[in-house]
Amino acid sequence: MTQQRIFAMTHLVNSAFERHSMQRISGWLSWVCLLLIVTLPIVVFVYWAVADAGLLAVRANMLPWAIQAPLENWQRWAGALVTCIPVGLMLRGLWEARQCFRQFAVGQVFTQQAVQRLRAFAAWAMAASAADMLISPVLSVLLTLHNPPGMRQLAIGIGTDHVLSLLFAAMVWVMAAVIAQGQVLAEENSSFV
Amino acid sequence: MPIIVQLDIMLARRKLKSKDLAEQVGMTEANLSLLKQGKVKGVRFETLEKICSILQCQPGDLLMYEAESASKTTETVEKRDF
Repeated sequence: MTQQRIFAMTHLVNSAFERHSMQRISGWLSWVCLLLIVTLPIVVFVYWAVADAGLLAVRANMLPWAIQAPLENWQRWAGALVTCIPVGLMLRGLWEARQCFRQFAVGQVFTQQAVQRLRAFAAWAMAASAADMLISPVLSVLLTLHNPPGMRQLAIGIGTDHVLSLLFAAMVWVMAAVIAQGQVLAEENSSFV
Repeated sequence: MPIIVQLDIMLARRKLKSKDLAEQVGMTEANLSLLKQGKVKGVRFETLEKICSILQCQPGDLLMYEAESASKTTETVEKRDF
């Protein structure tokens, strides 16, 4: 057997192995997405129910001692509901990601549906990140509502996590464009026998 | 299309069915049918090699080039004569 044939066969085996790995990992990731979709809302409400004032203040881009009056139940409920806005947008994105991973899990990689799902995930992730930046002022006002006059706060902030989230979403958008190019090549390849 | 596939002629000569050829080459009957009709964009050398090996022929026996302008002229002459 020539060296070229050995190389070609090894490449085919490695490609098949990688494809199988990709399908298996995609299957797991689709279930991870579903798990997150189910548990994240619960985590949000539990967090707002049990977290102390210092943690909640930091969440709203304030210093830990910014909240100077005991938090009432309605404030915690309202904070959880406001936090659910970016979380809800991200959950929508995770649903798109789950559908995309399910397609990858059955070997359908270079398809128009996969491209659309990836782009949708990127768009929802960007929206979630933007919403997260916008709710900080709302949360800061909500949490310091019962502070003494002159001690109430309106906090506006953009953190590295927001920037990185936006960058990640942009990368996914670009990856979707790359897969769209791959789809064209795959269609071209399928017309060769 | 200038490239004409004469696979059906070779199949008839070798008395081999399309289904059997497709099975031996390792391609689907649908793809073989597309190849016979010349509706594919290209043929891999590996596929061509297998077909030639099975049908005991040369690539030139399977593929023929006929310039489109020449074929149109031929058609026009034939119509006039008729």
